[in-house]
Order: sequence, then structure tokens, then C-alpha cells
Amino acid sequence: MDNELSALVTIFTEFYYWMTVVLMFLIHVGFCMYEVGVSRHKNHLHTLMKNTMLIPLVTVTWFFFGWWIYWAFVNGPFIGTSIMDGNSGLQLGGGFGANEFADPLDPLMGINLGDHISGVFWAAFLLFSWTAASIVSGAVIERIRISAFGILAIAIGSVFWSIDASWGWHFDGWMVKILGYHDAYASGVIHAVCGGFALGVLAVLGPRIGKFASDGTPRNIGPRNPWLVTLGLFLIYTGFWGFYAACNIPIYDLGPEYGMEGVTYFTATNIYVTPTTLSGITMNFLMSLSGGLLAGYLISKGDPFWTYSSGLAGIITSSAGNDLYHPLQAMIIAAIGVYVAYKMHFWVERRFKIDDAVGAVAVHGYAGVVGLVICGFVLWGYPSSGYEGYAAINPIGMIIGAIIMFGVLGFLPGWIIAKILHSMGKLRIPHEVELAGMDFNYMEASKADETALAADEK
Amino acid sequence: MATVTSWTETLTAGETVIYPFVGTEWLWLLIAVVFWLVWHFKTSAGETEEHNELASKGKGPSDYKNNIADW
Repeated sequence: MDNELSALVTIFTEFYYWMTVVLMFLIHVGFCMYEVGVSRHKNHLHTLMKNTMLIPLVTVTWFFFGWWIYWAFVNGPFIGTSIMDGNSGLQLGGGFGANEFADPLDPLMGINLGDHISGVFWAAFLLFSWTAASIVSGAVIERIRISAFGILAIAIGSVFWSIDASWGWHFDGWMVKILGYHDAYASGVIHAVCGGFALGVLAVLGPRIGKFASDGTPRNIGPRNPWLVTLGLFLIYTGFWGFYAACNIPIYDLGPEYGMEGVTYFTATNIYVTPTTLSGITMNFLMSLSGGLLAGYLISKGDPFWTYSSGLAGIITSSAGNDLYHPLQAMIIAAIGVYVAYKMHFWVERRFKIDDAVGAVAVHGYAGVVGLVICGFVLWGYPSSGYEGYAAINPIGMIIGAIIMFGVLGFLPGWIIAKILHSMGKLRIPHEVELAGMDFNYMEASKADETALAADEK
Repeated sequence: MATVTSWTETLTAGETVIYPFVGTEWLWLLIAVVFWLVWHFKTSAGETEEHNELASKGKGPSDYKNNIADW
């Protein structure tokens, strides 16, 4: 920062990401309220603690290795070739794009007067990691062991989402270069992968006691507190603003970046360093929210739970291309995603006896997959990058990308890890505890205190 | 010994790393990883113990309603 302009740009960018982190914290507040609102009285506190403790677990592992993975695996390894240094293996050092500064032992992973960006960028990605784990958290409430969930949270939050982001949400990622994968606001790299992961875990974990009648008919359990659910989802919407902002580089000169001699072109860009505007994505965010709400209200016949969730699913569906869509396209695409996600949720529930307590697989997983596929058609032919040699956005690349996100990096690892935990007897709480409620001891102690206090007061 | 003893000297020298005990990051990482692993084992064991104790009470699905406090 040797002149006022570069200082201003640097400090503005630092503050910009810092603000996105604060805003995204609301997503987690929302998820906690939402999950507690859906759970039954006898499980409230354990449900809350499960989601709360993923914060430190994912944070420390993101510091240990999650951030390192993001920068190390952009080439697969051995699938693509880095545009930075021509390397096809792990990116372990040598210039921007390499991951030496993500090494937890590196002086850049701390307060460093020569670097105002890495820390807030690390934090913005970390907040995505919390969201990733939190998406899975809601699906498995009221019967998973907290210790098992902690391991699953680390797996999705600090390993598998980090790998998929490295592959498909990085300007040097092999999926972008070879497949023409485009996922500006993370329909796939956060939502599809987490929905798939949650489904893999649910397939092993099984439904809550009583969720299905003896003839296999599903029963509705809750939500117990619709007001907490409402507030929670509003906070998730709010935090999603921060998420959208965090997915951008707020100010960047594309002229020299793209090798355009003598050209200065300052703009906001997405994660792939292709231009967009905060103004335009704001319209798209609101229009996709509206398309989702409208479709959800229509298809669920005004069910509040599904209408609110559909607002979220609408944004998620349009997110892959919301850096380029027209607002009306964003709205219609959102509505289509909600329709598919809603129908798929109940079909999978009935057909495979999957008890997804909050509809996470539908809202994040199915909507995310639909968003990726639609994006491949609507943005067919757009360049996936401003750099030379990248494949254009295309339907086949996006469909393969959706399979990688939902299936390969989502469902499969979730299923395998859950199977391992299950075989060790560490996945699910005992039958008797599920019947009594995980909070039984807390509640019993609280009641005893109340009784004792009342006796003293007489 | 403090990494920074004079801000003017640090800034004019172009020093950028200012946290204490520079060069001992590996030790802090080691302590953090051990703490993290111990935390997992201890909490998992504690959870099992809590579940076994609660399961032995043999409570039914509605028994918790007797324990709803009216604070």
C-alpha cells in the first residue's frame, strides 16, 4: 500500500469481506433457531448444542487443513493444469493461487501487516463451511449422537466442500477449465454437495421413531415452534445477502488481469474473476426469493413451513447463474427449482423411507442440482473464465458437475462415513434415549430445582 | 521476548509479522491438535455415559412432560 488509491482499495476490500462475515453469522443464528423450532420439547437443548458446537469444530479444522485443501487441489490433482504455473499436481507454493499462505504454520496465517486480505477471505470461506455443516445438521435432528455429528460436520465443512470448491469454485479449478462449470453463488458447491451428503447420512441413520406408520405412511412431526422457524428462516435469508456479497470480489481491474494492453476496467467480479455487478445480483437475489416463495405457497397450498423453505430453495436454484441472469429468468428458474424439490422430497420420503426433518435434502440438494442443470442450458456458450483456454459453459459439463457435487463429493462420503460410525455403534442414540428425549436429564434437574425453590419460598 | 519493541523501528524496517513468539507456530499447532483430539475422545465417552444412564431409567415418550418447569 504505497499510495492512497491502493490503500483505499485494499482497506475497502478488507472491510467488505469483514462485513460479509458478520452478515453471514446470521445464517448460523437462523439455522439454530430453525432447528430448535422444528425439534420437539424433549430435544431442544441437544439440538441447539449440536448445531452450536459445529462452529468451533469446523473453525479449528478449517484452520488446520480445510483452507489448505481449497488451495492445494485445484488441479484435481492430475486432472487439470494450473494456469498459474503449469503444474498438474498439488498446488504447494509459488505465487498467487498456490497454497503456501494457507499453511497453518505460515506467518501469513496470523496478523500480518503485509497482508490485509487473506484472513477475511479465510473467514468468509469458513462461514460457508459452517453453513455446509449446518445444512446437514437440520436433517438428522433428534436421533444422531452429537459426537458423530461432529465428525460428519468436519468431513463436510472442512474436507468435502473444500475439495469441491477447489475444483469448481476457484478461478484455477479444473472443473471450470475442462467442464465449463459455472456456479457463481454456490448452487452446487455448497447446496447440492451438502444435500447429497445429508441424504447419504440419512440413508444409514434411519428415520425417527414413529415417523412412518406400520404400513409405511409418513407422519408429520412438527414444527413445534413455527415462530422460531419463521425467525430462523428470515435470518437465513438475511445472512444469504452476506453470502452473495462474499462470493464476489468487490473491485478489480480486469484490464491487466485479462492481458488487455492499456485497458483499465474496474468492476466487481464473481469468484471466477468474470464481471458482474452488485446492483444486478441484488435484483436477482430478490426476484429468485420471490419466485421461490410464490411457487412454494402455490404448490404447498399455503403451508408456512414449505413456503418459507421454498424462498430459500428458490434462491439456491438460481444462484449458479445469478451473476448473469435477467431478474425475470432468476424468478422463473427459482420457481421451477422449488417445484422439483418439493415433489422430490415427498417422493423420496415415501419411496425410500427417508426422514429429512427439515427438508434439507430437497431445499439444498435437489434445488441445487436443478439450478446447475438449468444454468448449463441458459448460460450455454458463455465463457466460464476471462482467461484463455477454458471450456465455455455447457449443459453436459454442468450435468457432470451436478453429479460430482451431489453424488461423488456429497452422497458417497456421507454414506461411507455414516456406515463406519454405524458399524462402531457411534452414529445413533439408543432407542430408550430417543423415546425419553435427549434433554430428559436436564429437564428433570430443572424441575427438581424448581420444586425445591418453591418449597423454600413457602 | 516481544516481537515488536518499537513501532517506528518495526515499520521502517518493513517487518510485517507482529505476533509473539514468531517461529514457534509448530508448537502451538501441536498443542491445538492434541487438544482437539482429546476433546473428541472425552466428549464421545461422556456422551455414551450420559446415554447409558438415561437409558437405564426406562422412561417413556411422554414422561418428559412431568418435568416441564414453569420458571
